[in-house]
Amino acid sequence: MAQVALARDTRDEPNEVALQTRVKAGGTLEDISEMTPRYRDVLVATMSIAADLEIMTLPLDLDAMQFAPCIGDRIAVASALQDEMGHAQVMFRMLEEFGFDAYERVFERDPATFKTFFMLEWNLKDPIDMAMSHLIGDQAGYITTCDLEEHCSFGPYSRSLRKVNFEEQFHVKRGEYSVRHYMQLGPEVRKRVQESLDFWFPLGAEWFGATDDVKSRMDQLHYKIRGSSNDQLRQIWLSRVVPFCEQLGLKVPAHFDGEKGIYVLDFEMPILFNEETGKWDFRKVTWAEKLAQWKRGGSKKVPGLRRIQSELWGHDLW
Amino acid sequence: MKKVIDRRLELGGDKPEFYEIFARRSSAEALTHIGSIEAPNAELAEARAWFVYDHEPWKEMCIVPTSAIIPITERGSDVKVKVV
Repeated sequence: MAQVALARDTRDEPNEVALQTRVKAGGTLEDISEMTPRYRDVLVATMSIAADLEIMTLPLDLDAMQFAPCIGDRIAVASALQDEMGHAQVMFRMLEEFGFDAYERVFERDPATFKTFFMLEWNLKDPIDMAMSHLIGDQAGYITTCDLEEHCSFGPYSRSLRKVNFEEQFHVKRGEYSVRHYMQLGPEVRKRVQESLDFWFPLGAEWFGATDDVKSRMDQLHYKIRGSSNDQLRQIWLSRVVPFCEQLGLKVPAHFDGEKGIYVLDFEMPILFNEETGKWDFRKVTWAEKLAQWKRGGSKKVPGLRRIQSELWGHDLW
Repeated sequence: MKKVIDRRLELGGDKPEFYEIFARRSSAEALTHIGSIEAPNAELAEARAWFVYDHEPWKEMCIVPTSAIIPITERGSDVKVKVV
């Protein structure tokens, strides 16, 4: 695993090198006192993003509960959301050990400063979008958290993800089941499934971040916070999503390259989502342009988070 | 409009209270520490334990205030018990 090689700029920092050598050999950290400040920063940043992403699923999926086509679907979405809020509890509980105030992080922080991902910042239009969100989005999330569970050198984080991943696999299965179901409902519904996939697929592909050739911040790998690079994780995702879609007769902008023995995208990352047309423009742009779009965020992000912070629960909630 | 929250009722004052959750799936399994939650009182802690850790139909589940735990191997450490 070349990516886990020691960071170059730590030659003069014996503590950093010692820590990286220890985790590279499979050692785990159990306590904050064992961390160097840099390890701690990387770990906290990783866990904070994970916590914010869990919270963002609430405004994202709430509409899907309202427009669920049947009670079974509604229960499935509600149950998945309960799982996600449970995961948020677990993540923020862990961050509390690092001195964070979970209440402030969720209810008082400026919504614009939440570190959510572009994939989770758009309105779901209908139950097909919800199914696609589980098929494409939860699969991407599941691959990320499985890597963390397997490799993360911070023991408590890795262990906490056992429960998270146990539940995430149900969301992915539910996505597969639903998409398969909708594909049996005739040409009009199939067309809508394809349209939804056209929107979701590039979102899923870019969930894993910049390609390895341009990614500069490799500390997550040096410290073995996670074990696989962006491109390695993206490859796992492609190898699950592409054959599944092809089997159902859905078109995806990716294929298996027999010579290379890997799945490849039919477009070159990064590409931009055209917010006016609601479609992807497959012409390659610069990473600076892509980062700017990610930073602006989707239309659901700030209003969705603000709703969590402002909606009244009433005094007799409990 | 900002949400109006009774900090004492919902957060238990300014300092968070923590509870550790223990559970076992079957009588053959050891009672295991499965997680930790924050709650202002035992009643809410019970509800939150059920809400967050409902991935198994537990044969036995109980909660312990973190303040009641006396660390042995971790004596002197900032953390009384690891989160999971």
